[in-house]
Amino acid sequence: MNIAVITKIVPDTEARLTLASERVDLSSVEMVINPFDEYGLEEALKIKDSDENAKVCVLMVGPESVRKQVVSCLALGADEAVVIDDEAIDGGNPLAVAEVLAAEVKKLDSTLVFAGKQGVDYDWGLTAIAVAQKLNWPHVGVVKEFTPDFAAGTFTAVTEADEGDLTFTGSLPAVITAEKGLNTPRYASLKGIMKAKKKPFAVHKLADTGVDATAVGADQARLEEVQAAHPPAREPGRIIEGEEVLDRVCELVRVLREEAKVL
Amino acid sequence: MAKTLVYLEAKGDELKKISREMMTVARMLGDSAAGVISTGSDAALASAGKLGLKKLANLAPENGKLYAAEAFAAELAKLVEAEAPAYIIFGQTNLGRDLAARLAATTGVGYMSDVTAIEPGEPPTFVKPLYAGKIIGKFRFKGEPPHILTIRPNIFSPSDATGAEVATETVQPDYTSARSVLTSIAEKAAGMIDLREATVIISGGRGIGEAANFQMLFDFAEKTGAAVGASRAVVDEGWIEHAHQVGQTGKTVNPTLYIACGISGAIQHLAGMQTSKCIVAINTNESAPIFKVADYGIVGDCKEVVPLLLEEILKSRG
Ligand SMILES: Cc1cc2nc3c(=O)[nH]c(=O)nc-3n(C[C@H](O)[C@H](O)[C@H](O)COP(=O)(O)OP(=O)(O)OC[C@H]3O[C@@H](n4cnc5c(N)ncnc54)[C@H](O)[C@@H]3O)c2cc1C
Repeated sequence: MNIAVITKIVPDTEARLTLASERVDLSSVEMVINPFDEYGLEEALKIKDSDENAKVCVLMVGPESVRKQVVSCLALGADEAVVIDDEAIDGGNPLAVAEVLAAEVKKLDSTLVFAGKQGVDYDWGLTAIAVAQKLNWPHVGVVKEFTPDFAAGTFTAVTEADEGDLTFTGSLPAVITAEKGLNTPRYASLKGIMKAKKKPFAVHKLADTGVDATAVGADQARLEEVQAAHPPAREPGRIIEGEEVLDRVCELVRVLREEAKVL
Repeated sequence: MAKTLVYLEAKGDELKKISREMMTVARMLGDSAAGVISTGSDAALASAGKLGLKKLANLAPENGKLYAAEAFAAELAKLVEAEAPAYIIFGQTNLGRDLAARLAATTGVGYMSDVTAIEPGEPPTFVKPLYAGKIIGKFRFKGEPPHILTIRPNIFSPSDATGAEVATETVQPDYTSARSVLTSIAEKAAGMIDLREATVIISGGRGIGEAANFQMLFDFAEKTGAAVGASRAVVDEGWIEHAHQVGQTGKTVNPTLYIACGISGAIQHLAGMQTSKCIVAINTNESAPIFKVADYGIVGDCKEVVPLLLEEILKSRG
């Protein structure tokens, strides 16, 4: 059984971001695997733990310079990686990226695709669901509990919504996007890190995927970014002073009622 | 002006607040709106019918079949074809975002999620926070309509406009061909207010000391009608469930009042709450970063401050 994990790199969440010509300048920012994708990868690895025939392939559309981050996925236990690096792909358009990823998933003959619920850069939450649509597979998004039954070819998945916990039932193959809490990602072992270097790591061009360049080019984008800016700083706040704790609390309640008018 | 299509949401017999927020956005972007909803409640349907819509379709749930992205997206695609809206508006809720994405993939039209502001113009500019709120991004749609957008809850003021009740058209989604179906909802315990809908949130971090002290926050929440949030540190400690986590890998919340108790104010936490209208921080360390975003701060032990705060708020309410 093959399982694909689709992932991307995003700026380290601690990173400071600077702007150049009203765009975010990522040229000197430390990039990491998207945090939500780590839960997707872990879910795939858990299946591999209990089924030695399961193979996990990590897929990413991005520049070949992502090698370090992708190798970190192999160190955790994934079996192989495919990076699709081609300037003809409009990496900012989730539908274009999904087209390419779906083509690679097809070649893998996968039963499951895992991904994070969204990238913590633009938070679109579209790519993985679009992969499902392009494969003509079902999907469940933002999953916090996943129980496959491979013998029956079915699954249940639970997601948390404002209504309460939602339980989905469905059939495999399927695309599942991970919420934090789905599992606890493992750490890489030294052995894993050593082995990772020898695992298959392919870099594909668009031509290798069989996707036509006209389908994924920049002119296909239906949304354009016109400006990126830093948010206005919040007005500096005020520390409530007072002799006793009770004095401070009383003053806080007063300002919340009278100044902020939020009580 | 343009037509819009809104995907309304109800919870039991009530329309969710986000539905009225979507109506506000629909009026900003067009002069006539058609609505789609999926509810088994006649009361919710009647409320939706009075929002001032031109028409309303109900994607009827069946017993044990409450939602299916594939089937709903297929029905919506047909409605889009028939109505030719310029914008299709969803809430950035669990099911709203799910269906919006599946519809975008089905139709290939423009898609923008989690919109927090709209600047009028031809075409309008849509705004959303990027990179955990470190950046504000502005976007415009290109090419032929329709365009799909999801709006962040609690940002746009809810519309109170009403109109003559429109007749509802019942649409039967094709659940049998859908391969992933929402089969049950385990409703939240009564009195548990959802973080994303709460007007007041009291949130605890490692500074509250131990798991048992969360009871103090639940007490506060129960007596004042607030919801309880948490930092990731305490979720990872197992002091409270992930459902309460606020931040980049938790929930994005927008309450009127956010009270951070014993939370240092890491960038990933701020990502989820910095658009709150008023932020209060209670922290023993006067140089904790949370004070940089707080409107009001108390330097002190939250175990001491929170019970007093509860008492004083209740007193002030009489
Ligand atoms: C990829 C990634 C994603 C993340 N996502 C999130 C997220 O979604 N949400 C999130 O919250 N974090 C997230 N984090 C973690 C974040 O970086 C911080 O580690 C976390 O927010 C810290 O939680 P805390 O403020 O409760 O704990 P600490 O940082 O330990 O702060 C505790 C605070 O309590 C104060 N304190 C101590 N005792 C008291 C007392 N008696 N009374 C009052 N104050 C007291 C201290 O002065 C301190 O400021 C993420 C991290 C990463 C790397």
